[in-house]
Amino acid sequence: MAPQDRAHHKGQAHDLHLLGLEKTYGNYHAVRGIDLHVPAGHMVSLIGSSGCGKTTTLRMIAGLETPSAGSIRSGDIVLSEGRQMLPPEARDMGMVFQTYALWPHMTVAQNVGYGLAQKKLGKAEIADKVRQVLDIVNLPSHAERYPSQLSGGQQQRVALARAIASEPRTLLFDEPLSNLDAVLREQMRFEIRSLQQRLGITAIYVTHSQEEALALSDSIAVMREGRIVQSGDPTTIYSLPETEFVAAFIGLANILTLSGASRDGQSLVGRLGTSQPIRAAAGAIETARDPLKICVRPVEITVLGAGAAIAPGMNSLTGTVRDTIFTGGLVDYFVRLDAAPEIELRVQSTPPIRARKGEPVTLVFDPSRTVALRD
Amino acid sequence: MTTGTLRTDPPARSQRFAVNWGWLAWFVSILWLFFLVALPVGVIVISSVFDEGVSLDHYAAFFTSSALLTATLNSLLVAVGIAGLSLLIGGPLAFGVARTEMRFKGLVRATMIIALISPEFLLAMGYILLAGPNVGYFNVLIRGAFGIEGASGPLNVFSLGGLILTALPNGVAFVFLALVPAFTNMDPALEEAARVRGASALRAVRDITLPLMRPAMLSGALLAFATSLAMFGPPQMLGINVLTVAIRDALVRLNFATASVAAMVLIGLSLIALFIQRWAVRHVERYRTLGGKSFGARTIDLGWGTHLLTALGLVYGVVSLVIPYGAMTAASLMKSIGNGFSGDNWTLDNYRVVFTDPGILKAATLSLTLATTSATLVAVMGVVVAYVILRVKARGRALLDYLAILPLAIPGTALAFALIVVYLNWPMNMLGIYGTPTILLVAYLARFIPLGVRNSQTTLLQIAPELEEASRVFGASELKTLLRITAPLILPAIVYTWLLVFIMAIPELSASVILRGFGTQTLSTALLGIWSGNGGLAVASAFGMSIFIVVGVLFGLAAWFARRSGLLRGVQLA
Repeated sequence: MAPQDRAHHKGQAHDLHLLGLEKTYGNYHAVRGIDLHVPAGHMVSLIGSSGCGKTTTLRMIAGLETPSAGSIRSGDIVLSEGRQMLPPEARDMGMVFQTYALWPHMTVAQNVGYGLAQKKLGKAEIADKVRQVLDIVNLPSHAERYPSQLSGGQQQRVALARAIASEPRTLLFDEPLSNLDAVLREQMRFEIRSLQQRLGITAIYVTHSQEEALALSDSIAVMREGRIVQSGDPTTIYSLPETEFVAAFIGLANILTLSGASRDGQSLVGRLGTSQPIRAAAGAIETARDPLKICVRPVEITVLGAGAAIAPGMNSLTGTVRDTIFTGGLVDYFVRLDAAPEIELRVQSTPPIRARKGEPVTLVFDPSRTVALRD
Repeated sequence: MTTGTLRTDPPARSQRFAVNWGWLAWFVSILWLFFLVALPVGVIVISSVFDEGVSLDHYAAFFTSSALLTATLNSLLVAVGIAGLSLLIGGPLAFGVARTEMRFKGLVRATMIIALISPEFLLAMGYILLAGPNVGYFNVLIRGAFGIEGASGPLNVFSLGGLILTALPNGVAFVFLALVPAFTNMDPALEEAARVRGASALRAVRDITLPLMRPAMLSGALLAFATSLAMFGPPQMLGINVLTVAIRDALVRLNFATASVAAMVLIGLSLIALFIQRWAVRHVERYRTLGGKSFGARTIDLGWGTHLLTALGLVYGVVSLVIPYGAMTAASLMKSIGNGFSGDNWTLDNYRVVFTDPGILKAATLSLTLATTSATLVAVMGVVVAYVILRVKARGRALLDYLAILPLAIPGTALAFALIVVYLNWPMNMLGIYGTPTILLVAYLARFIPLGVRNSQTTLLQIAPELEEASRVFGASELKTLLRITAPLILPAIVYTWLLVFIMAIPELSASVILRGFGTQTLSTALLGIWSGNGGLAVASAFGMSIFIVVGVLFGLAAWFARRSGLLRGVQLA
């Protein structure tokens, strides 16, 4: 698609606004008040473990569930307000379902053109558009096949083509990659991202995979028990998690509990067992908590030999390597700490292997990469 | 979408509209099953305990009447005998076809399918031609060969044993059809494990295979048991006093009290059998789901056992397919049955009579009309009821589910009796349908409801709700979604149900024979009249063969259609 097309679409994009959105089934609160703003043309991931309410939220945006309270707006159109809602067919959405939900009795072309036909476009126009979209998803020669004649990856592409064919106001993705194998999943991830950016359509992407969320989205909303616990752009979510839950859910994390914590200038300081003071200069440092939970990513820790000189101002812990695992691009070390033998830190660094099983080591990490957590 | 404000009214109305569709379907389903199933069954129960106040007098009278006790005993003996013999014959044949290199597999399969689709009175006619005590071909042959004096015997098909043998092929087919998939789907590794531990092939079959087959064996045998209880044609033709015949005799004598208790006993026995059968099948399903993958049918070398199976298959195929149908075909082409297989005794006149006799043509017209109407209504309402049971969030869905399969346990004679009581009494007598074709239609609808609902349920279960949701999201209204997505996907089930109901309605006998009026002969009642009256056995044979050929062709069509649309898996015949 030419650049001016993209500009054209960008100009038409609409933001999406969820306000106080709730859904209850009897006594069960599936969604307990979601506030979320998706700027026009942005892609936001809703991520969380199963049962956190992410899919229910997506289905309310699509109009497939009636919200119990709250409102949904797309641009200046109110999609739902309390229990009053526009039916799904009036919302101008495109959606990729987890099971693809391709209609088995229709050809690929009929599947993709279905939404266009509902918009009362002419036959020639529909055929044109279908061809164009199938080109985009690299299936130009499959128009007359039936879904059952396609591989899983091809079905996925058809589902994607169907979702974008009618140039909807909003694109919805419901764990679209969870049925694909790992290689295909990674490939489709990039394709979905570049397509969404090229078309500039506002999009919501529901997933339980942190890799997908990090790779795909402009911003991420982490959900737990029907609420958004933290949202922000991928780098912020990853490097400045606010809670232990978010830290552990997005990426690998060492969570340490410091005692005797207190404020010291721009950082918080505490001790792990009998260790030297450990300093956290990132994250929720406005108020000192005691005990204080901190998060250090395995890749932020450097492995040095026992007794090595430590640069001033760095955090350090000593310990013994319990195990070392070589995985190609990275080496994993599991280190038992001298100051708190019940704790094992995970460390990841690029090869070569710096310490073997049973060897004493010193672990060094930067206070500015040490994140104080709220809880 | 160009409006900038929330359009409160249209969506709210559309939501209310959406709820109304579901509720309308729910309401129609309740009415449908109430009038066709709950009301007749309720009437049987009530009339069995009601005689100027609630009492068990009818039951007391029933159990002190030796004729009725004999009928009950006969029914049980016949049903148990058929179920047992069906296992003995159908079990080994199913194993042979599924798992060994036995020969004549095609003949065995054909015998089973033909037994299943044959009108129940057809084989009885064939065996009467063969083993009737006076002029049965076998008896004539045997008497001639051994120089036996006298004009009758030694075989007599007009006996309890004769009835069992006559109705056996149907039961054998049920057991066979239940067991072949079970044998085919079984993991051969289980048997191989036993053989590795030193067991012989036969021993592996006995210790490993047979116990695993128990649910399927139970299921097939109980189906054979229930259908044997419900049959009316063969015992009527052979003059054996069983419960279905007793119900009709009581009705002829206007003894409704006896008829109701006999119906209750019959329904009670069928319910028990079907309840256990469903329990057994559910067990099978669970087992199959756990297995998941399908195993290529692996054959076992049984040595001389294979030849035994081949012999059994050949004898069974000849005795229950080739000879009776051959006799029927021969008789249908004879000028006079008494003259036997002589050179100048052949004619097509019998068929000419069948296709020109005004009485038969009238009966054919009525049967075709009834079959067409009932097939259409059962297929369409099957979808509606299945939709309510599976997709509409409304109360009473479990009840609907039970009501929809209850007719399987109601023999046609019992149902017909119930409809007489319902439509002869206030308030339903005001409809004035007693003695008209309409009451036959009501009976057919009630009998075939389970077929429609179960086929649609199987198909609907395969249609994921996301397919309908996707249509909504991509801009189609609820009605349009129904027309463009749901209806095309469920259409194969509707067509298949239609064909099956049509096939079963054409030769329907047990309800028709009780409900027909003077002007409302169906094909099967007309045939029975010609058979037992003065029309002649040859014409009756031609008539029976004609019905059989029509039904057979239609069944072939249904099977072809099912295979083409991928429906065969999961769709049940009964």
